[in-house]
Amino acid sequence: MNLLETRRSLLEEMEIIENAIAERIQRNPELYYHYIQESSKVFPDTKLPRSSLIAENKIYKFKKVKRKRKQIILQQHEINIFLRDYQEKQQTFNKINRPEETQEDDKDLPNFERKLQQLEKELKNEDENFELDINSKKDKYALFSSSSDPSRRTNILSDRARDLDLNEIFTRDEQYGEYMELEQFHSLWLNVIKRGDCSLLQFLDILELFLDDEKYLLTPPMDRKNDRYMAFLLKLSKYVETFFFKSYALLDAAAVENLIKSDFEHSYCRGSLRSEAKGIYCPFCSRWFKTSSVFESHLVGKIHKKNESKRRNFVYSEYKLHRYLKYLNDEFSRTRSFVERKLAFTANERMAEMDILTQKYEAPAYDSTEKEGAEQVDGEQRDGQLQEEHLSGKSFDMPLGPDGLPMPYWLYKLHGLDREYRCEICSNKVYNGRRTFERHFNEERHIYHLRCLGIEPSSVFKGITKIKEAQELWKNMQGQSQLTSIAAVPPKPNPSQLKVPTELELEEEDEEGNVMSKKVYDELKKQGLV
Amino acid sequence: MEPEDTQLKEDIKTTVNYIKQHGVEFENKLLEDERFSFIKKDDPLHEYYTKLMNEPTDTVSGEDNDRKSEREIARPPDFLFSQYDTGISRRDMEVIKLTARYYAKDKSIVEQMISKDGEARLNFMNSSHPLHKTFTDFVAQYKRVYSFTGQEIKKSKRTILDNCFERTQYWEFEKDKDREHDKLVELCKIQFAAIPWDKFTQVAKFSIPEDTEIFEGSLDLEQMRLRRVQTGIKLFDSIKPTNEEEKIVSDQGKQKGGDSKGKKRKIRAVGETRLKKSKK
Repeated sequence: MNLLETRRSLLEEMEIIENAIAERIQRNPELYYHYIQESSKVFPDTKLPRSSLIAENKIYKFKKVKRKRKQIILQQHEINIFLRDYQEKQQTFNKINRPEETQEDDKDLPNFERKLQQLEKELKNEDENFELDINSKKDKYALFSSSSDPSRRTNILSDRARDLDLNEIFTRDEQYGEYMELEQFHSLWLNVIKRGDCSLLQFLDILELFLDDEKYLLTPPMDRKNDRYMAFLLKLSKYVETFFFKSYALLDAAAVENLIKSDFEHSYCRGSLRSEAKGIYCPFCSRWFKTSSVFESHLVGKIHKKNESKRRNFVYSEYKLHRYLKYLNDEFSRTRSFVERKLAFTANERMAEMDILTQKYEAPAYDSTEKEGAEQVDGEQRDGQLQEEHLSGKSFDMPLGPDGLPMPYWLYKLHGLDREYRCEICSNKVYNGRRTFERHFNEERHIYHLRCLGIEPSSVFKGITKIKEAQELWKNMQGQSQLTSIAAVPPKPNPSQLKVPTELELEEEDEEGNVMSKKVYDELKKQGLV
Repeated sequence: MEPEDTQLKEDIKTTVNYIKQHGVEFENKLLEDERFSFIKKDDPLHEYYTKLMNEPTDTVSGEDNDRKSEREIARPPDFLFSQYDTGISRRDMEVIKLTARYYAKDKSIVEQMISKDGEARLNFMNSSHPLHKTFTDFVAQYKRVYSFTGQEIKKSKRTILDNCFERTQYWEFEKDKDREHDKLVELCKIQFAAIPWDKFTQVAKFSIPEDTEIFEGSLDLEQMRLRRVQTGIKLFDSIKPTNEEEKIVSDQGKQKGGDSKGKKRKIRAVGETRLKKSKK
């Protein structure tokens, strides 16, 4: 392929990658917010978006759906792969972009003709082939393109990152960067101190010394020159560093390492720890030096050089552990809380908790029922009040409908909104349209005014708008009600009639089980039939 | 001073807004209508009307400025190398790329080619051709690549991510603007439907000079539908008219006759193209 086309192709792919990353951030801005918050701890000059956007997972004005942590971390790792591709293509481009390498042989007309003929010959069968390279590149980096069935979204990963398995990177107890797995180091620590009386919580207390700027140097958990202590710290530092970069995949690892290295070389080793009373502290010699001049002269001394060459790795690891633990302060706090809760569990509770964690760990990153695209756009809707007023002003004769929006005149008349109905009971309020008028009889306003007139509202008063008519009807209803009550009073019972139902209610049963009244029974008994 | 009737109050307010937009001359037209009697100076409501007319609209404009400042988001630089039309066959795309490469290097080479033969294959260089935009896109791309010569691209991971976030914000901003625009269009439709078409007044009459040439040619739908560099779709490759056959023989005298005969059309399965396109 032509060199010019190669360079153009590389630039094209870089743009495709950038577009793919932007699409993912648009779908879930938490991918960026999670990264940028941590980045602001490492690099103080980082500019953070507004805190309200971060808290509500918003971009501009639109809120996005909250996603699972596993999905967020997985997509961050995917973006990291994209960024690595981008850097590779950038390097390749810069390599072949030098002036001496861009000497072209495409200079004259016969060359062009020859190439055109050659192209026609080579691509003779490609006349109906619409599969261009750019389309396959876009598919490679597109969301959900690793799903086996194109019509159904089963996997959120792109084709490029289809082999990415987050469970290979994180263990179950780490829960994708939420907790640190420090129990293994507790066992190692017991070997270091050669005692068995240190509990896991006490071990975490010891680790907390490294969160402070001074304590791990001045009051270390044991002698800083102990070989076992140094070896332990090297391992722990390596784990914490690895954990940091796999939890925050979008951070530039090289930049962070360079920053820490630079701080170590230029300020930490040259006496950043100072005290008014004691002077300047040297981390290699573990000693205080009274004045600055004494400290400077000791740097070139034989003892310091020996200490530095011997223990440099350890001191650097110690410093790195301190820095990374400060960056991972939140994760450390969560880990400690989790350990405390776990120790307080009963056996059954612990088993249930582990099951929950395992379930979360094994669940797929993407659920096909999740909201996508326009479904998730439920952000704040700015009302177009100014626009509506502006438009209403333009059309002077346009009537307003019940919803306050301008309404076509033909529709206005179709609904009968041009006819007015007045209700005297409702303080002579005018209602537009028959429907609104009919409906208002059951509304609060009308009922309230009826009660003010001393009338109990009922369906009888539907359709009556005059106060006088309503009051007359109420009087008539009151009168009828009294007459009915008088007529409804039952007469006093006649004492002679009281016996009749009592007598009638008595029943007898003969041998065969037939039920009959007492009178009949007595007669039959006299005749000897019962 | 204010009128008791709410409807009348609203009418005066609306009229004031209307006249502020269209100018004071509009008052004369409204005077004829009895509903607008408050415009007359001897009317008892004229004082209220005048008061509203003199009232400034600072509140609204101030509010609008606040919204504007919140609304504006800087537009990120457009993508150049990945935005071209992709609904073209591979062969046509390669021809366009090759020509664009030479054109970006030296315009005269390609121009010589055109003037020499009147190449049908290079018709896309005419601005009326549907693929002309694709061609100019590629020329711009190659020129940009030339301008990059000697320069290094150094974008850090952090810079790329920040740029992506800004682009995302701009996309959301554009979406919001589109939504507002759609709402506006909808309201305009309502306004149009509300026009009383049976109440027109003849305002003026003008005549068109007879010698004015105002007609344009009809649209060439066949040309617009074209998605190839070459004009004329070959539906029957095997059938050739007699006179064309002679022309082809004379043109391809040096080439073997078997080449043209061997040209075949690839037969696809039912729905293959549609499924491929839907997959993308």
